[in-house]
Amino acid sequence: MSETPRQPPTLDTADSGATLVAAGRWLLDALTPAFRKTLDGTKGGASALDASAVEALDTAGALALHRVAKRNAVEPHGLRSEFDALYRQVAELAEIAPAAPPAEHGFLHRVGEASHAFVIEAQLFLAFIGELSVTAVRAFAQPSRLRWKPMLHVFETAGWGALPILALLSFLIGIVVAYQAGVQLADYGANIFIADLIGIAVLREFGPLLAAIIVAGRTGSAFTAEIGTMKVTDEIDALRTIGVSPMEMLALPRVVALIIIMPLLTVFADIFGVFGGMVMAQTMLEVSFNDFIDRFLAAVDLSDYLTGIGKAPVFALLIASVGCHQGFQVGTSADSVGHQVTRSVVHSLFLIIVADAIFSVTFSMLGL
Amino acid sequence: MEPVIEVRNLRLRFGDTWIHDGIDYTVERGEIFAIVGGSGSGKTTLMRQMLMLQDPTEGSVKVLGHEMAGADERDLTEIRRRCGVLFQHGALFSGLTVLENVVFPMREHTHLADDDMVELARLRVGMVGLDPAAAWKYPAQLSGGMLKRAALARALALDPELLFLDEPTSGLDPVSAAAFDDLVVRLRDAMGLTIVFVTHDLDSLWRIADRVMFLARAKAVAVGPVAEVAAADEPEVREYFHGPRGRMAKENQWKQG
Repeated sequence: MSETPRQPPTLDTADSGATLVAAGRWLLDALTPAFRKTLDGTKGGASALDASAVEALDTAGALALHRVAKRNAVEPHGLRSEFDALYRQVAELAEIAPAAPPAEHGFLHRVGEASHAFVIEAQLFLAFIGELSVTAVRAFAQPSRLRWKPMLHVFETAGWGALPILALLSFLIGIVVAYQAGVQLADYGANIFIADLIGIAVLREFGPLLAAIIVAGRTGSAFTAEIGTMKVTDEIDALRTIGVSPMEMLALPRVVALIIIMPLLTVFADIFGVFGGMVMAQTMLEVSFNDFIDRFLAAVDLSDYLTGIGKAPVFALLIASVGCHQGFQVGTSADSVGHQVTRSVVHSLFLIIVADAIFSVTFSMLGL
Repeated sequence: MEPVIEVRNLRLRFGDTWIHDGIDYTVERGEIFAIVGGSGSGKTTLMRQMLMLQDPTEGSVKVLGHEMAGADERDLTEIRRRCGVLFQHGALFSGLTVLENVVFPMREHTHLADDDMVELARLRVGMVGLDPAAAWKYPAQLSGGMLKRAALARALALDPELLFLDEPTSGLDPVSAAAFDDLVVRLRDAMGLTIVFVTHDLDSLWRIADRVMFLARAKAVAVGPVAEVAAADEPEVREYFHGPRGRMAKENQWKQG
């Protein structure tokens, strides 16, 4: 079949316009723009359609032929018997009215729907937090219910695995902050105050925030993807039918493990952030490491360090619960995993910044 | 008759195991050719080799007159255009509606006007027996049987000459499975398709296959019409066709006449 020369489809008139003659191979090409012009160019009013010279016919060709026949209100005759079934099926199906697409909604409708979805989402998250708390209380009352193996896995992937990237980024942020502040301080000859500035800014804000942002991107998204994929493959339902609570098996170990690991990551970020500042202080402001550390010890209180570390478990709780919650929200299709992962990262970053702002206001009111 | 697929001395090795150790067969134009065998006998792998998704270790695979080994990208695209594939789990793109799924191959490979593509896609949706309203649904909203039909509609999008079906009736209830078998035969007759299918479903084997190839011990131990293969004197074949389920399927076939 493929060896035969390609005979393009043709539509001619005979008997001074009374008969249309279809010939050649009416295949998918029959609907190309060029041939469509020929088809649409024929005026209605022919009294017969001779299809005996049609050599090949596929669905697209049958549809084209049917359109010609319909415009002229005739039936094609002489069609080869092997094409007959296809032509009749296509002609019949082409007459079925297409279903109307689902109605498009107006602006107000969409706003309402979005608001409603937002409320439902908040409710679901609240329900998740509630269920998590109940599971947590039960597990702590009976510590044998805590799953250690998944927790150790989180320590390794979320904690140990994050160290290199966290060290590098904290170091760079230390450099950037020291540079920006150093330019101003040098104008006043107040070079040594770089230690106050770096110490307080990194320990109170940048350390915990950087650790949280990296964990939200690396680990929160992974939680959503892991749990979401299990949802798609029915593994969550399988757990339930075996009588294991998915909350206890999947969510709680992740949340607890992240709450434990996050303060440690924050300390790590603090160290490298301050170190970055020290390097910049020495190269740009000529403040030696020794001077920096002396000043640092005098300027920075224990409370600065502890307020920074204190935020970490809260950030961890937010990241892990949003990550797990979004994982459980995954539907049945593969692409909803990607969708929920995006939401998970956006929501956790949003909540981290909001929580950080709340901390700042609270601390300033308490005079910490 | 003209061969559509010609496989000669096909050998495939994964690690230390030979999955296929010298398989020869020919699929003729217009026939429904079934590949059967126990789990793990390499049926799906064999289909993947005909689809050029997996290279054989040795041997020759000719599809639609083209040698697959060493074919360049353009030839492959041309041949793939002439083949349709129904994957076991449908493999519909989950982010697109059924209609968009069927339009997708046409948009990639033809220069049709948009409304023509949509109308053709609607025809396919009708041809596989789906309700017109199903065209607007996403794969996640379809039942198992509808999903298979929608996937078949996409496989037919470019009016293929050759259609591959991987376990088309798995996961369907007996009524839907029988309806799907009928649909396959009807489409073959209407569109002049050649169909290669992998199956575990003995009922559809008896009902629609023109010829069957039985894979066991990395070889094609029997090839021919169903009744002939079922009578072959090979231990695996006897177990397969004359176990309790095999006998039942055969009796059903006789009842239907």
